This record gives sequence, C-alpha cells and structure tokens, in this order.
Amino acid sequence: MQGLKYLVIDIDRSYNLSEIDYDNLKFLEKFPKLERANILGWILEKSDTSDDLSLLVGNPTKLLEKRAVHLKFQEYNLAGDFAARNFPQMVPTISHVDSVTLALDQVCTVARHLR
Amino acid sequence: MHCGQTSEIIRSLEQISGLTELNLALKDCSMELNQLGEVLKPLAEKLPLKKFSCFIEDCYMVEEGFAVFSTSIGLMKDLEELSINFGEGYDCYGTTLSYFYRCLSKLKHLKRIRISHRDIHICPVFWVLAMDYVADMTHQLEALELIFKRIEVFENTILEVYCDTIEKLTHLKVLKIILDGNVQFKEVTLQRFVKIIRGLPELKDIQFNYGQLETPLSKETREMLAVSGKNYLKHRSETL
Repeated sequence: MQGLKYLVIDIDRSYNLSEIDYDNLKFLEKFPKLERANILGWILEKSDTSDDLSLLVGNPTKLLEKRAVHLKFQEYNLAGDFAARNFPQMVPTISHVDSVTLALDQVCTVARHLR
Repeated sequence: MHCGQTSEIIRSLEQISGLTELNLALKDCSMELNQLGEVLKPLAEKLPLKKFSCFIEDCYMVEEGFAVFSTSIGLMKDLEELSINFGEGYDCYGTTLSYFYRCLSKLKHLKRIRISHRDIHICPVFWVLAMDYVADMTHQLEALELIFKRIEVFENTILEVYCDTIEKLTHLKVLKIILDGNVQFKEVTLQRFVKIIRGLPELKDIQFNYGQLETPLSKETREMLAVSGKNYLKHRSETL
C-alpha cells in the first residue's frame, strides 16, 4: 500500500480519544504518498515545507533559517495538537526569530472533544 | 488543547528575548480577555516588542478584562505599531474604553494605531476622553485607523470629537475612519472635518467612510467632500 493517499479509520463505538497521540500514529509515516488521514475524526494533513508548524514538529533545524515564523494551531489537526502540547519545550528551537505569528483556532473545541 | 494550554503557548514566547513582532489570532478559544491580559503582561514587560497585533473573536469579555488587557498593552514601552481587532462579544463601558486609549497615550514610540471595534455603544462623553488621549500623541502619531462596525448610531458629537483630535495630529500621514452605522452628522461639522484634513501638511492617505445620513447633503458639501483638495475621500455613493 505504498501508494496510499487517503486513509480513514472509524469505529462504531465510543472511544477515548485522549488515548490517541501523535506518537502512536507514527505508522502513518510508512505511507510516503499519504496526503490526508482521518483517524476517528482527527485529521492529519501532510503539509508542504512552508508550514512552520510542521517544521517545528518534524524538522526544527530548518527553522533556523527563518527570522519570522507562522504557527497555526487548528482544531483536529494532530500535528498541531502535538505541537501545542509540547510548544513550551519547543520554543528554544525558534529563540532566534524576530517575529512570531500565532493563530489559535477553536482550540477549546478540541479539549471538549477529548473530554 | 484547552484554555490553559493556549495561555502556556503564548506565555512560553517569553523565552524569545529578542522578539520584536508578535501577531496573535485567537478565535473561539474560550479565553477571557483578562486571562489574555495576564498572559501578555510578562511578555510586555520583558520583550522589546515594536509591533503587536491581536485579533480576538468569539472570546469572553468582562469589564475588568478590558482593563487588564489595556494595562498589559501599556507596558509595551518600545511599541511602534499596534493593531487590535476586537471581534464580536467585546462590549465595554466608556470608562474602560477611555482607559484603553490612556494606556496607548503612554507609549512614547507608538506611531501607528489600528483599532477595530464592533457592536459597542459609544457614549460621546467617554469618546471625548478617549480621543483626548489620542490627541496627546500630537508629535508622534503617523497613522490612525479607527474602524467601527455595526454601531447603532453615531451622533454628531462623535464627528466633532474627531475634528478636535485630528487637527492636533500634525504629523499624521495616514487617516482611516470607517463608521459602519447610522450617522447623525451635521453638514457644518462635515465641512469642518474636510477643512481640517486639508490643513494637515503630511497627510497622504485618507479614507473616511460613513453610513447613511439622515438628511441629504447640500451641493456645496457634496462638492467639498468629492473634491477635497487631496481627492482621497471616499464615501458610500448613496450619501452623495
């Protein structure tokens, strides 16, 4: 299934979504052509290299070239959720920048979803 | 992610000691404005912020929250450019509104202000106080943008206050006033407004939009507005 582009996983019973973590979805990396996954309503989109949030999660050394970063935390975005939970620890990675743009969109809905 | 986490994300920026520009866009975060103000306080005190913009929508607002938020903005002593977009749900009393502008007037490097309010009631008395603080920035202010959306009514006093304020801002290069609502402006005040902006030596860019006038303007005033000397005035066509 190396050519898999879209993956949807759903189950017909209640599930504690707090058990889902970005780390235990690492298996998605085995699908190099995957563009979008929807796991129990959580969406993971493969972003291009201009996405600073993805860089922060996946390749922070690339951020060293930037003077300005734009980080958009979105509802249901697993990478965003992972980054949000670990953001304070990640800040030293971007301590060289002059400009930060933070977009936080419906973040509490995620919290409700988790509860 | 939860509200506490949102606060932690913003608070953690304190570690970027050389940060000069911070743009925040908060939407539906269930974060009260006083919480945001508290989170911003250490950043305002420690970071050399020159540019700060904040878009807040569908968040929660209590009266003291506006004051806490204003105080934190007032601590950004290096600030040169400020842009705040108060979205829906940010009603405030006149006293707090004037306090907000008082905090801005303490920022000695502030050159550009862009404030957008929506759905608030502007009591002319408090607007006089608020704009008095803006007028205090006589020699420093280069750009002033005040945008009001969905306001029930603008009394003529509001335009008079603008006139009194703007004629003191002698270094103004950009002026943008958007009044989205019913206006009760008098012709004589509109004519005074035009004369004042004609007299500002450095003004290069002006936009003045207002809603529906209760009575049609005379030909003389229409011509004054249409050919303002700088030819930058824009209006809704139905008002002319």
